Amino acid sequence: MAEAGWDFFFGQGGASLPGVVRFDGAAGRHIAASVSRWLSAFGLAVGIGVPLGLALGLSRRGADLLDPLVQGLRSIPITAWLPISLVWFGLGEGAARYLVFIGAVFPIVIATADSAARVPRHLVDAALMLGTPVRALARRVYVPAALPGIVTGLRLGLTLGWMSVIVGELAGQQSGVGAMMFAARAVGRLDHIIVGMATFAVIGLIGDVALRAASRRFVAWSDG
Amino acid sequence: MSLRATSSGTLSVHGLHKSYGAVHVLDGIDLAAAADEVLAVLGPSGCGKSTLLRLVAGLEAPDAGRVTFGDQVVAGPSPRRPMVVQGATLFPWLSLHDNLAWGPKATGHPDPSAVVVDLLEATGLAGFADTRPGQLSGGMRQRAAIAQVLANRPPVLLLDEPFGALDAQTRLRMHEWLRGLLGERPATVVLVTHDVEEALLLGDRLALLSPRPCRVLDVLDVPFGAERGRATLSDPAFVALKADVLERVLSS
Ligand SMILES: Nc1ncnc2c1ncn2[C@@H]1O[C@H](COP(=O)(O)OP(=O)(O)OP(=O)(O)O)[C@@H](O)[C@H]1O
Ligand SMILES: [Mg+2]
Repeated sequence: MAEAGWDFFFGQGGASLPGVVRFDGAAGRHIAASVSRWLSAFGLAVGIGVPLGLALGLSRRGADLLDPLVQGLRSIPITAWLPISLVWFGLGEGAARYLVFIGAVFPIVIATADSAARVPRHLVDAALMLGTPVRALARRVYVPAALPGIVTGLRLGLTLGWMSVIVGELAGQQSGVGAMMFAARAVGRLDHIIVGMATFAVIGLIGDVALRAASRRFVAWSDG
Repeated sequence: MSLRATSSGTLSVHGLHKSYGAVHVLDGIDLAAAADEVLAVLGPSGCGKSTLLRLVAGLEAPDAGRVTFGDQVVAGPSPRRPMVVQGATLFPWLSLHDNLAWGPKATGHPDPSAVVVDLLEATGLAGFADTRPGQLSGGMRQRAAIAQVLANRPPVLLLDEPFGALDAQTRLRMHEWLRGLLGERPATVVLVTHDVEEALLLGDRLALLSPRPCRVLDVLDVPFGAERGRATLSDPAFVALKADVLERVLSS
């Protein structure tokens, strides 16, 4: 296995299959491709999911209408999004990123909506009685009060997004850890498949630890 | 700020009715508090005391009747009529300094930090500017919650069982502290409580409420001077009045 890892990361002279990914040891390139898909789609999921979740959480009618929709959509497995994303985006980068976005956005929307709806009424009242204008409530009260819950949603979204990367890389990608693993399967390199899985585990863990470290300062108040 | 100069006036409620669905809570409440008077409101648990204060604060609208302050009808929450609720109205993610600065900032005070430093001093919290509410004791949190709304120099202060969650000794210290504070910074106070002793120690007048649907049974003057504290508790007149009021509350 150590040897397989060595091959995977540093190459062993470029075994290749025509038309498939080359085993030229370009692990860095594969990892960079996967991580870039992951983070760009996650960023979009945050940018759309947090405001949407806030809107849902703060409006009763919005929650009534959209909550079942979001919950329903969420129960579609990520692989079931693959055919439609291929129809919409064709084979390529767009479909891959779209799948990662889908994987990440639902937990973010749901956690944000849920924690915004749970912000205690007395905090909102307190802000109003201190002279805070209604239009400033979202930014000054709801977002900070809901932040611990939002961060939980971000962590879940980051992890589910990363898990969706491999599905996205089924959509005809030439690069990426997932693409490398499918190519390895085609040439019977089980060792490379397992190193790919370990790579997923390690990078997913690093992402979660980094997100937690980055958010700790903002949510420290909520753990006692 | 010069809010106070234009603000003094009588705080009154006229014929206030409020129901939640089939639950008839307030059944025609009439009360008034003169400028800088402390009106204690005593009523049994669940009779609608908090509801009454929320209407006075403008957080909810009455089904009938109205709340007026001076010549204005109350139509919504205002930094001039803040309500401090038992439990925390402090923002748990902010330091004490930022909690106290919130009001002055929101109302455009030129120097929020100066206000905060003053108030932390007046509330005995000077060493805790950088502490978050969750790390304070219960008594300190209540003082901080009151200081937070006082930062806007409100002419009216609405207190909903502010010391209800504290132990007896801490509560007595809080009573003495609040009397001192109101001596320095007078305000029209409506203090809601179900503690007879608290009502008699802090109130200039005392309104007795009935069980739900809630009405005003009686309003009495509290015949003790400004110097009330732990010594007052053993004053025979205080003991007798306390027993009398308790009897009336229990038999209503
Ligand atoms: N938003 C609401 N919706 C429905 N019912 C409510 C609401 N607020 C209060 N009530 C009901 O109104 C009644 C009075 O409540 P309120 O909190 O005003 O009483 P209280 O005198 O402050 O009680 P406590 O002594 O427990 O603080 C209660 O029966 C309560 O269940
Ligand atoms: Mg109450």
